[in-house]
Amino acid sequence: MDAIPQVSMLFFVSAMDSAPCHHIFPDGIHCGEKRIRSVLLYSSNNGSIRENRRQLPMEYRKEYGSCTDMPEDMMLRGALSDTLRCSCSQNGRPGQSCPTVENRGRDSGCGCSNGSVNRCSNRSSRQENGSGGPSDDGCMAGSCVAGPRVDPLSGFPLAMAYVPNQPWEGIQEPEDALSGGTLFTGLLFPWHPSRCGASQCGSSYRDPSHRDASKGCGCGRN
Amino acid sequence: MNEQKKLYRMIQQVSFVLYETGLYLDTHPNCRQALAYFQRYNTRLRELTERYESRYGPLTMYGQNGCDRWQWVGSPWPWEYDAQ
Repeated sequence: MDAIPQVSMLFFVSAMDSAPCHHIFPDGIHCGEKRIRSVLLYSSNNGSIRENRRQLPMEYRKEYGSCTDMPEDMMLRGALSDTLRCSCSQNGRPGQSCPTVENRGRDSGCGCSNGSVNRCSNRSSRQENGSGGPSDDGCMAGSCVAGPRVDPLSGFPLAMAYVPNQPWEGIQEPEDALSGGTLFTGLLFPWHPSRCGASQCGSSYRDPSHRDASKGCGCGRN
Repeated sequence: MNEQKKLYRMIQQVSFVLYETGLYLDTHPNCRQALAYFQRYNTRLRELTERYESRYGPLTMYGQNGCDRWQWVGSPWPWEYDAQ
């Protein structure tokens, strides 16, 4: 899509009746589980609000379980200016209640921002929608975290574990395997909570390949 | 550590790596390296077991070796190995 330099509001339009609520990050749109057919871009130009509906390409008009597999050109990278305030509505019209999932903009951090058109300041609506305990800025305590705004795992369900394919490597001698509790060095995580701190093991202390046996710490589970 | 305990310890070690390899093979049934490793240590376990049982009696009930006495009941119980 063409870059729009002054976007003040951005709305998703869902083909579904249920509330579409999608994450908006500085790098683009992370859709949720609803069908998205078009987006509404509200650009502010010298005080006037201009509505600009953008139809999404046909190939994107399908449901995405997450947007992680969405092509990058789908993302509105560059279309979100520094003045972005984000929100979303149930039917593409401004002034709807706060969405069920927090929206995020570059300036607004997270949570519903006080956009010029759609204000998500209704605390009760946030509570009803299950967006967690409201704080002063309407954010869930756990949703506003320090660090990069763009979570690489955003869009994935919570509390999903993963198990990488284990390679046949790092085979220990039988004596070491029995004493260590595993045949594989990649699964060797000695538990030394009092001796294994981040200060000892450095920033890579969670990476088993960077374990420093000389420091007496496995660091794998600290 | 006497010879019996050394031998018993080796059997424990080899049994452990075989068990670990078996778990790995459950999810990697076509891994030739793991299969070769398992075969090598499986042979090793049989050798060690035969050596131990020929000297010190059966390690398991199935190690009974054609004697006229039930040897299994006379071999050490698990908690007796360290006491020896």
